[in-house]
Amino acid sequence: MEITRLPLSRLEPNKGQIEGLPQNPRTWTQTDIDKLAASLIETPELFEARPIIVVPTSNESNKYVILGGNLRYAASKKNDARNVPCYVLPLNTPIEKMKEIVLKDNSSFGDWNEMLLAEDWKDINFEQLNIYFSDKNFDTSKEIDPNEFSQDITLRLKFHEPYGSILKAVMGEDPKQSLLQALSYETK
Amino acid sequence: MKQNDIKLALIDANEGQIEGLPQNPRTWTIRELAKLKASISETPELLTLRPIIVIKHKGRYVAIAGNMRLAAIKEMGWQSVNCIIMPSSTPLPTLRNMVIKDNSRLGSWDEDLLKNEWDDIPYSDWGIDVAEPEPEVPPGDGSATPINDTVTIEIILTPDEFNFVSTALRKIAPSPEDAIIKLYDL
Repeated sequence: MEITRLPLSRLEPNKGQIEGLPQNPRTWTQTDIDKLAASLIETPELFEARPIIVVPTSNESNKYVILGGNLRYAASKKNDARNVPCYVLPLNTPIEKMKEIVLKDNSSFGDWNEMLLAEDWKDINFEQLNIYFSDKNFDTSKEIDPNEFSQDITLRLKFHEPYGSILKAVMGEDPKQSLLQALSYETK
Repeated sequence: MKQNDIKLALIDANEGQIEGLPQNPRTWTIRELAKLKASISETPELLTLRPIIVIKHKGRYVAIAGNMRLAAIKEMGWQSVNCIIMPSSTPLPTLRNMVIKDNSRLGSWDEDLLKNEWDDIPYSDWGIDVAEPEPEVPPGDGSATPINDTVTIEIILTPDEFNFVSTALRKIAPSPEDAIIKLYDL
């Protein structure tokens, strides 16, 4: 789809002004706006690759409602951007499609591989991007110094079904023994 | 930035083959991939609005953003896909930022709005990370058990065992869960 550059004054956040389309179900803080504003300045290329998705309010008006990118709109305002890259959807886009776009543009599948993040992506300012690591005790990316760390460590594993139930059955009453055996751990 | 249809046979996942660009730090389960496949079938338009981003490398293409979607549409039997092609001159720090930032998200779901105004949305099938609404229990049936999507297994290890296990699992798969699923041949 072709990118259209639109002045911010012609964009409107999705407040529920389109009949049948509920308002944007995302929420953010001023800190989020500040972080994204800085991020947009740092990596403008990504904004060009991921334009704001808008739909015209009506045939006559020259205003557009934001389906995807309400927070980027707020951050661009903070940056005093004159215009922003947009994809303009046709006025006759079905409401059901608009709903899918609003929600799915904000959702994601999969997880961070924290081991790789910690090892290979050290230069990234994770906090700036609201990327937080889970409890360090469970972080399998780091070797633990047994001299410093004398207590036992709980490895907490979350499995989707049906894997979880199958594994519980296969690993039996002593999952630790089962796992160590499967990995042929030799007790010293 | 160019945009073009590219044959899937020419696009590779980011496995770290570009010097200075580490492999894709995302991981997913087979179940999540199945959900993404269903979601793409339902809303293929989103792949046009948020295309996979690639860069040319040794006559082929490497996926900078959209590695999971690439895996999904390969399994779905797609032959080609519309991609954004980053110029070869794109600096490495920019590519690195794009890999991470395309997967990070500021702000959060307004769960009240979702529940009150966006009803009938299958949150987990759409990759929306909020608690599913409690399934309604038919009156008179107090025996219904809640449906649980995940099972937690806790293993208590000494530091030595922990180091052994984490190193061994990492050789099998990036996430310990995926490694164990493979280890037990599931």
